[in-house]
Amino acid sequence: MAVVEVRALRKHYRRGDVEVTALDGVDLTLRGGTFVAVVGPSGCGKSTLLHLCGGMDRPTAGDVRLDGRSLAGLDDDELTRLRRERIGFVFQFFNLLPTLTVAENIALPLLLAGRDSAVSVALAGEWAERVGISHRLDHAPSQLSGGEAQRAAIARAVVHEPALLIADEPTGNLDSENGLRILELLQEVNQRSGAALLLATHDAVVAAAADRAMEMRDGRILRIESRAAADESGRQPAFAAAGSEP
Amino acid sequence: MTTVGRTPPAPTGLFRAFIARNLRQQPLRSTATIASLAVGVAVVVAIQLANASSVRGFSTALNALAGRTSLELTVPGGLDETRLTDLGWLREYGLVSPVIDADVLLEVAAADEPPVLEAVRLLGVDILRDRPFRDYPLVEGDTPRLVTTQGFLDLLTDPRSVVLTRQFTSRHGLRVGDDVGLVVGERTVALRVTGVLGDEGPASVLDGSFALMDIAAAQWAVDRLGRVDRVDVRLADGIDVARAEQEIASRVPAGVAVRRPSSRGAEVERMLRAFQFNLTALSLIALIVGLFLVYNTVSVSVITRRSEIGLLRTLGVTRRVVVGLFLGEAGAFALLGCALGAPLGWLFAHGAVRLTSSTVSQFWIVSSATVPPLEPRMVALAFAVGLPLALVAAAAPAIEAARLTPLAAVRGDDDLDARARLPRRSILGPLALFAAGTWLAAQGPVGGLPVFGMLAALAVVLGAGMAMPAVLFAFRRWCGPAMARWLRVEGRLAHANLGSAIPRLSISVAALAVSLAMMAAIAIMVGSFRETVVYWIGQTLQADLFVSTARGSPAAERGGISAATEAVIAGHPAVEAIDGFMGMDVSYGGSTITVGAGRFATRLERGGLQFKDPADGAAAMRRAIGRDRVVVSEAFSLKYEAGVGDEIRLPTPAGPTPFELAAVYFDYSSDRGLVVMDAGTFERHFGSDRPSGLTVYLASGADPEAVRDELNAALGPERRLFIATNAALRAAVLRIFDATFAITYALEVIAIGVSLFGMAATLLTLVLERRREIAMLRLVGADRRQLRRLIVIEAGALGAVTQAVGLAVGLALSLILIYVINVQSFGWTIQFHLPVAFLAQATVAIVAAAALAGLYPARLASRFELGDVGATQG
Repeated sequence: MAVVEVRALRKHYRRGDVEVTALDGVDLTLRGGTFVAVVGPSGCGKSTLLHLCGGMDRPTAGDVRLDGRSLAGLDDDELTRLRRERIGFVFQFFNLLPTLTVAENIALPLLLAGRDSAVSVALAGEWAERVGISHRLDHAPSQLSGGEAQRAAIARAVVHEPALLIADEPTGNLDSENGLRILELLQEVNQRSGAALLLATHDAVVAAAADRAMEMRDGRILRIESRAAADESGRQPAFAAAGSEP
Repeated sequence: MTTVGRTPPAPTGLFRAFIARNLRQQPLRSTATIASLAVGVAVVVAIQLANASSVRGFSTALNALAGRTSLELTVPGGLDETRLTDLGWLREYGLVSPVIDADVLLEVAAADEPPVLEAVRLLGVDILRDRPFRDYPLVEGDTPRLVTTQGFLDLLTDPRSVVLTRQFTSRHGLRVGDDVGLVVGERTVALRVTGVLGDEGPASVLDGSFALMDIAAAQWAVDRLGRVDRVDVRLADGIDVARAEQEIASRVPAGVAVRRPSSRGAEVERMLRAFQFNLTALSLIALIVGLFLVYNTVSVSVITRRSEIGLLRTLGVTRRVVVGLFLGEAGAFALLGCALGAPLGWLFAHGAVRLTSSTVSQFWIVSSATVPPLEPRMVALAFAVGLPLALVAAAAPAIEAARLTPLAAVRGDDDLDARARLPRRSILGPLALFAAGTWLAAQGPVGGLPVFGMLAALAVVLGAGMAMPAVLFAFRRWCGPAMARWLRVEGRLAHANLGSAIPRLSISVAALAVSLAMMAAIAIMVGSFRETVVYWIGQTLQADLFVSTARGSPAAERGGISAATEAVIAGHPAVEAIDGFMGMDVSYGGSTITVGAGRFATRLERGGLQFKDPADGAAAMRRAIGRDRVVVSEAFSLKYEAGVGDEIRLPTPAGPTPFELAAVYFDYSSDRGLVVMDAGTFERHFGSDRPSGLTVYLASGADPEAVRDELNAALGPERRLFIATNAALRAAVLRIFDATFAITYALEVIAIGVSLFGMAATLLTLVLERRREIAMLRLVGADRRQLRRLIVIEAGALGAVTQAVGLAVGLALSLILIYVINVQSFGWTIQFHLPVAFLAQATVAIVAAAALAGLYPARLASRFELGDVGATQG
């Protein structure tokens, strides 16, 4: 079954007297375990699409269904519960809470869901082990390197075993070596946990690693290309060049 | 900004762009700071106005009543008229006018309502002699009425005639020809209004509460036949007052005091000084809290704008200009705060006057209950106090801003990491201040004022404020597990958030802690005082009934209880014994004390006094009967440094007379100093006088209330007597006690309100700064309720920490208040008592109030949009 189904999604914003179209009729389906990269220049609508799929914002028109359930009819509390239980987020700037330790940051979704503190911290420890930062559990986020902070953010995003993992420029703030490691980690999580991974990026290398890459421009999907098709034809995916634009 | 790199802009332009614009962009923070400062300044202005009001009433009355009097001659208990002929030589110096001057009660009948009683100043004069001394402008309606001395004399020749003021008559709807009652002792003397005075001269005193009578009629009315209160002298032109004062003093018979009218004002000021000094000190707390908040606001400004400061420094702005910018910010707050605070203070003063005038009237003088107009002097005071202190408060953060190196500021180095360590000064500073406080508390008074005691309290307060980072560090270190266990994830997050914001929180928490400490200290002091008074009245008020002619006001103390009345009371079958109390005010040591008399034998037999010294005070008192020995109140003993065995010289009609001090007893009825002698001794030195109060002892088994009712019936309604049972009097004493401290609590509530306001503002700042983190929490699954709970828990936790510090510091301050400030100000020994129930209730209330202060920031936090995570674009 599809984890995410997006149909005729539109999003308009008002900026003063001007109406800005961020998304203009987007359709998308994500199944469990798939990795879809969204590429395109700044302002093309990548983040808006991710925000709408993650229940962070509401569309002007169209529908987003998660696990077959439409998000349109959910109130704020239900959306919050959905994010807490079914979605994980990874961002460019890590967004770890500076006042909490790494362990507490990772355990946060479980703690907010009311899970037992000891169990939550134990699970956080397991995930820290899997992403390779178990030696940093009692440290503050400010004491981590960029790569370590992003690993902690990934552990936090998956600790509650979500169905959908949303990653917005997860390698954008890292050097190429750390970027690659994070990409490998995301792929590993995606494959092992079976969560669908929806990732926005400017990086052609990251986009090339996806099962499908979707190029956007002016709020619309310009083209979609699957890695399988590209591998078959033996050529570089068409979106690689487009996605490399700043 | 593009030109800044080449030529640094003028500081004024920079101030507009960097500070003024920022203040406008953060209206809430700016308004909160200005409002806090305004309230702080307003409280100081209000107390100064209230103090001025009580003295002003008296001073104005004094000046208006003195008129053109140069010198006045007085004798304790009044001057015997027959001795006036011996003073005929006074005419060599100028004009002479004997007067009766008394605070009395006038009773005015009101339609369909009980009669109204109002205190007035009664002047009885020989109008022929007195017109050169004082102006009596008669009016008819609003028109001045020209009247000759003879015409005036005609108005007053009728012994029932009284001339009142336009203000008084219009207040009570009186007209010429109407009847009023003059209440003197137990009698009411019927008088008729024969004239109305305009608002000049003596008639202008105390809102027109003035009455004029012929001297002979006044002597009869106020029970002073054969005596005058004083003789006024108006010196002839060209005679030097100082020389005349000296010469006349050397010629008058022993016992007659010569002084200038203004010296009475000085006496009153000295009497009120301790009370007003303490009120002023208390009013400064609200200001200190306001200044804490200025410090806090400027500190937050510096912390949040580090990178901007770095940029300015990079672009060539000097350290001095940076200091100037932030001092300018504080100056802007102060100017607006003071401009608002002065008129606000005038409004507050109405409440303060209402709360203090009854205390002043109860214990010292009949005071005016009106607020003086807001004169430029008071506005200047607001600025003189608020502006420099605000600049001092802002100096430390401004200098900190200037010390930032451009690189460190732009990179944000040493930002939180350096601040996460506990500076050594946070431990050493408070320790030094607490040590200084201990030393200061051990010092004696300065000119009768507890200056060192106040400084000791200030040292403790500043020490507590400075220790706040250390307290918050301790909270961060030890309270985390408990908060996580009891308050779940929100508690864990709240603890983490507070722990990381110590530098920002310290000042506002310190401000609240200081207010709470003062509240706790005052609660402990007042609670202890109340317990002491309760015990004291339990020991002292042994009689079953108390008979008095006036309800404990300095007004209408004239006139005693007649022998006939005493006989009626003594004749009641249930009455076993009666003791009477007489008292008169005399000048002593530059101030006013009360010399009183009672029947020592009865008092000793029935018990009642608690002696401080000697151990067997009762025996010493017994030995004082029939001798020139006195017992004195503790306040007298401390104020005039007189102990058992010492000789004190009291002014008597025969001149200064030595008395041996036999014993010192505890007394909480007045701080002015009481000297009590046996009735026989009093009569020998001061002449016979009727007692102003009686204490009545009943046979065992008698019902005091029934006896009171029977006595009231036997005495009849025409005798104006108040008979109180023991229980009723005790309740009345405690009611007066509580009213006396109402102003104290009012000032404290304001200080706490300002502090809570400051804490809410700080929480709001923190919430706004954490906007992104809060949005992140929402993203990972925190619902709005959890966020609200988180912020409210933070606020409540701050309230709890603050109250804990407040209680500890309050305890230390209460010891200073009880054992240093009170003893030095009023001469009262108070037994320490901890009002546990009150403090427990206050703790719950403060934590709840602090949590409530977090509601608005909590609501705001729960409304942040998820887009505030600000992670991406596109």
